[in-house]
Amino acid sequence: MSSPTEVISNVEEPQEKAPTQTADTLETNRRLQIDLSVDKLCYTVNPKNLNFFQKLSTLQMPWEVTECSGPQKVLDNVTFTAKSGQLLAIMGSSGSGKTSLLDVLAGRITVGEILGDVYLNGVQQNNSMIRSFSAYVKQDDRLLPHLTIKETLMFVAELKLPTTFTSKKIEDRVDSVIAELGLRHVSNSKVGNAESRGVSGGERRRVSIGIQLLLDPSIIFLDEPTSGLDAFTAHHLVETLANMSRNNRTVIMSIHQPRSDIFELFDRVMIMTKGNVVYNGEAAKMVDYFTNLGYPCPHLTNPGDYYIDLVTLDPSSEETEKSSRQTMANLLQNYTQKRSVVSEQEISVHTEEEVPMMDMLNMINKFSQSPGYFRQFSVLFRRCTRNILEDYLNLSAQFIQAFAMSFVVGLVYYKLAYGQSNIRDWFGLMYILAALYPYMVILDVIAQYHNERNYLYCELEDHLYAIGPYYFAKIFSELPLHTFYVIVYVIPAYFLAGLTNDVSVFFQVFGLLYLMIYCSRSLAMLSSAILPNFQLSCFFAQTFFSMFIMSAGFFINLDNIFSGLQWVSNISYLKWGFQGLVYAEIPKLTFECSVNATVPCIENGDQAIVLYALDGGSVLESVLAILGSIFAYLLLYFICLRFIPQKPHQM
Amino acid sequence: MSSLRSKIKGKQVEILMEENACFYDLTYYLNGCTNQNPDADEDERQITPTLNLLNISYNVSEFLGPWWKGACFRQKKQKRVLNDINIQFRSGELTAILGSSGSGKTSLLDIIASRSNGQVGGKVYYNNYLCTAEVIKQYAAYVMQADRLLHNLTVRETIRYAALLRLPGKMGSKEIDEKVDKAIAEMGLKHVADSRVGGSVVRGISGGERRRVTIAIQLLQDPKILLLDEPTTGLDSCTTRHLVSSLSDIAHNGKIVILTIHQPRSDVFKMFDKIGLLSMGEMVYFGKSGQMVEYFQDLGYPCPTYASPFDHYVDLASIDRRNHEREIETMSKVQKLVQAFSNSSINDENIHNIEEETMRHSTRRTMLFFFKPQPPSLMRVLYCLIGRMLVNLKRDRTIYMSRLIMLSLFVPFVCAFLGHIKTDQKSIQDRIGLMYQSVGVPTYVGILIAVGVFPPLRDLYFRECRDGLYSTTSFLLSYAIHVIPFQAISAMIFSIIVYWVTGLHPSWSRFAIYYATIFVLHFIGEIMTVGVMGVFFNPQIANSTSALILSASVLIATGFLRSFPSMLDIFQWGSWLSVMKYSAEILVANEFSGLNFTCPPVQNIPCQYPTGEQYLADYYPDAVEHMRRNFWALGGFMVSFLFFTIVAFKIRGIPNMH
Repeated sequence: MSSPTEVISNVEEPQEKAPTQTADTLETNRRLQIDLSVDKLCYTVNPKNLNFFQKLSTLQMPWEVTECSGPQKVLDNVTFTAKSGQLLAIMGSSGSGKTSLLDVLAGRITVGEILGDVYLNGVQQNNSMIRSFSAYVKQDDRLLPHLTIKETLMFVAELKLPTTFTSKKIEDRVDSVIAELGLRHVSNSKVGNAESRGVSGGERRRVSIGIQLLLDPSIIFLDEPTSGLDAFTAHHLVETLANMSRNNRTVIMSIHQPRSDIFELFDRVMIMTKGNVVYNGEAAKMVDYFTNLGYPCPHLTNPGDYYIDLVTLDPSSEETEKSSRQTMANLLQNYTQKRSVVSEQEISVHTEEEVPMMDMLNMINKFSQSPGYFRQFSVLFRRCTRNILEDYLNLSAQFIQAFAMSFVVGLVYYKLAYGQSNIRDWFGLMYILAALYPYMVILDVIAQYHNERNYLYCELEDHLYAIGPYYFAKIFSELPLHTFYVIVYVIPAYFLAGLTNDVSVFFQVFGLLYLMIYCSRSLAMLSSAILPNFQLSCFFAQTFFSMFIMSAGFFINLDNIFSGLQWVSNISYLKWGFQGLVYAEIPKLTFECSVNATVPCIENGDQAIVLYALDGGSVLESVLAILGSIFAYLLLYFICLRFIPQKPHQM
Repeated sequence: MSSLRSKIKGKQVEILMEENACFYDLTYYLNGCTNQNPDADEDERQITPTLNLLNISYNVSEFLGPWWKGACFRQKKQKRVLNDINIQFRSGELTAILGSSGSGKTSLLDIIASRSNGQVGGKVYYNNYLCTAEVIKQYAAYVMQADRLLHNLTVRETIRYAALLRLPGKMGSKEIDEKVDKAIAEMGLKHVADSRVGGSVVRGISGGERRRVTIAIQLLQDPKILLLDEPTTGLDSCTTRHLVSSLSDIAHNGKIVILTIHQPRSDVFKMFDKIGLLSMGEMVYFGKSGQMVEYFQDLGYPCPTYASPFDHYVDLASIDRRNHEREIETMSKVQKLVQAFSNSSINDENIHNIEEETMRHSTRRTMLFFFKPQPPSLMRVLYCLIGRMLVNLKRDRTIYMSRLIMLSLFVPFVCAFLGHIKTDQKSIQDRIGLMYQSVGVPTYVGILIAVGVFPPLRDLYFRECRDGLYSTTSFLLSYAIHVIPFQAISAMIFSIIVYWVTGLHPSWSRFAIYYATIFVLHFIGEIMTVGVMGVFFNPQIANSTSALILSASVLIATGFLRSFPSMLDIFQWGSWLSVMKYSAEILVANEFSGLNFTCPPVQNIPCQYPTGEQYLADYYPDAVEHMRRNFWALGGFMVSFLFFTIVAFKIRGIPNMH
């Protein structure tokens, strides 16, 4: 048991000593040692049983899904035990079921049928129990690129740690995790991503692991933690994992091409092929085991590579395929025979040293005190704001875009005259103002929200926060910048084109554009939540936008719109915006009539409005109609977030 | 000698006597071609061809600091990529160049293939002849890291089209077919010869087979030297083993095969005849693969029993950049290794061999010939390029249909809200709106299609143009020709529906004018985007740029949103440069001339335009008279867009894609 002051002193000490002491910062004082046993685990997927959105999110047409029909056995009778204090590596070529096994254990499986039992310290447990003791580090890092490492961990800690933690304690916990993973020297560097420079790939992977370590779990699953890292970094990372396991944790990682220097760090190894286990035991004894079966490892060969290849189907010719199939079957049979003797003992041994249920319940209670909705909202709000404000490149791009659009429109309509042939220009100006930025904003927002799916999906799966606080944090954090861009958009065009020099007209125009652009944003938010990838979302939003713009009353006279489609015009926020802008500006205008004109003259704005069939409205009516649209879209957006899984897809 | 000479004349061998050209050894050439045994010649024993690198060094200069400071204000930094490399590659041997990333492996291949952009020091000899870019092309084939193949062609078609473009113009189709079959058999692709290549969307052959297709294409010309950049990246262990054993067979049949690899597995170790290990641009080891472990053992770095010597020694020779101390420590270790190797007997033997080889031949008096095969004729290139694009297009149902139908998918937006167009005063607004859509939509759809379809073709062109197969002009010309029929059809469908649903001015000649304008705009939209994609390689940026050009010119040049006379002068002048001005005038004059509008007595609005002529007189004066001029302008724009696209591609050049 250590008091907070001791923890602070830990942080100052060299990194090697830190892990042993910092572990005690959580309420329970002592991390439980938990051994995980899995007995006869089977996992079957039947692609036919997917529901509509799952099918949609595989991006296949309904008739294409049936191609791979028929249930597929992903895991077949997997039995093993992972002991606390040991690093277990699950090895196998791609498609051998490593990731599926971790997914099943970490409770991330939503489809398919799972059979078999999982024991924690010999007691059979359900999924939610395992989840409370374990953490899952996925293969790819899903981090906000513009936060520093410390900020990233701080925000997650505030969302994860129980409410009983003071902010001082939270910071201590974050510092100790940073120290444990050896990130102290970069703790104030930005995380970065492919576009903006940040910390290195290995350090990013450590941050992902650090996020999972915050709650100090007893069991850690890692899916391919070394993929994409260079040799030194990978070695160093696995060293860190081995150290973590020495510290009374159960660490289970998957790896598909272990280098020999990494292989030496493993305590236990499990080799899988096609969902079956062919070896499970101490890493050091693996070569002996296979040698006894008649498959010695050649000199100067990496045993990890060699034995994984041995149990992989070699399809290069019929002959090799046959012989490798034979080898696999042979090894599998040998292993099953051996295991049937061993496994019974393993599980029974553990039932003896059963941990009191009280301890377990204590642990569970710890999780029930997680932060409430309001705290989640405030943390997420701060995190969103921070991430937006740190993204200078995007900020300046948005600023330049808004300004440039407005400036060009202002120049094209520079000091707009009041002749007869300019009447159409006045309506054109209102149309351009009403359509340009709202159109531009759609693509930007969809791209941004699809990027954010990357971490949103994972964090929701981690139960880091609920969807409600995220939704409100997102909406409110974006409002200030939205206001700023609209100001940038309105002012140059307004004064260059020479719109009525009147405060009330200016605010009417500003207010209408503000709402229209916001309505575009919410339409874009809705379409990015409703469809699984960027292209489909864009198509969806653009279709609606095109329909709304066609029926806005500029290209087609509102009187001449096909009567069956008048309703589209009535729900079009662009029509209401256009009409509102026209009402704010044009009635005050008088048009010049040249004396010797051959055609009759339209004298003032009111006549022109009648000609455009926009009469009979008011600015207030437009504002209310657009507000209605905004609320409808935002409500639908919330419903989509709530019920449609926001699984990210590569663009 | 005279009989030889007549043979040569028959084969149209060009005789070049320049000093620095890489000459082809006559006797060797004839032996290779006629498959006869070499005459047991005089005092010379049979020569195995060798590729010798002597004192190769390579510097690139890179700019420091942010790009917006411009080339003049940024500091230039010289970076040494390769330093003092001496290698002899021998025919019949498979050589692997190892090293961690950034060690200069790929640069070494670039230098051999004469594709490097920096300053190269030292000399490359083929046998004893100094090589230039022009000539190395004849001997060497370079297989780049990424496969750039058209997804919808079958393996046989892919190789056949490549053969048509690569093999000499005199070769008949039967001979070409034989070559293709031979290449397919050699790379073990028989069982998938008629399957589609496939890609990320369409399922096709496996990654390993795709890599084999790329290699088979490079083998068509029967190169003496085969260079492969990271051929095993992204392949699983079985496929890797299988591929390397094929490469080993190729090498043992009398070729120089050189490949780079950065994370080799122990099982392919034995298949390499020679191994070169690079670190920071310097040679740490080059010699027989069997001696490598022994060599390092003698230096005091034994390889553990259960470890791959590759992994072990690549790690040994790479720099650990995780922190400063480790970096200095590993750097000095690498320096020691480099020093040790340059003093070793293996290296001495290497250099001795190179010198012997390069000196020996020059004393011999042989007639030297540089044989340059006749390239395929322009007609064959165009025929082949167009044929390949059409086959690729035909196979892909989505692209095929979208080329034909996508334009018409916009018709509902144009027509549904409008229905049959009226003739009252308010319908003037509708007509202008319809014309706006008619200039905007075809151009925009052209942009969309080009963005979706063009990038894979462009990447293939980059690759093949680097190999010197055809010119930018023939590529872009054939692209333009192959899209024309599709655009003609889709513009026709679009025009027919729009014209008769909305009831525009009913006459055959006016319909023809409408159709022609739509077609030209559709075509120009696509060609313009193609040109933009030659400048910006990212399709997203190309898309936005083209869309921006389109919106800007619709805004200032059509007069639909802003009338000309009161605009700022600069915009008025600018509008003359836009095709939109002419097409808008054509469409409006075509529709409004000779049209009468009704004036229902509604409210207090005066009836402004009882006839179309009056409207034209106010907004588009002289549009009817300028009809002919405007059409000439449209034709001119079609040609000049194509011209500027070609110019854009030429100026931007080909990126060095690996």
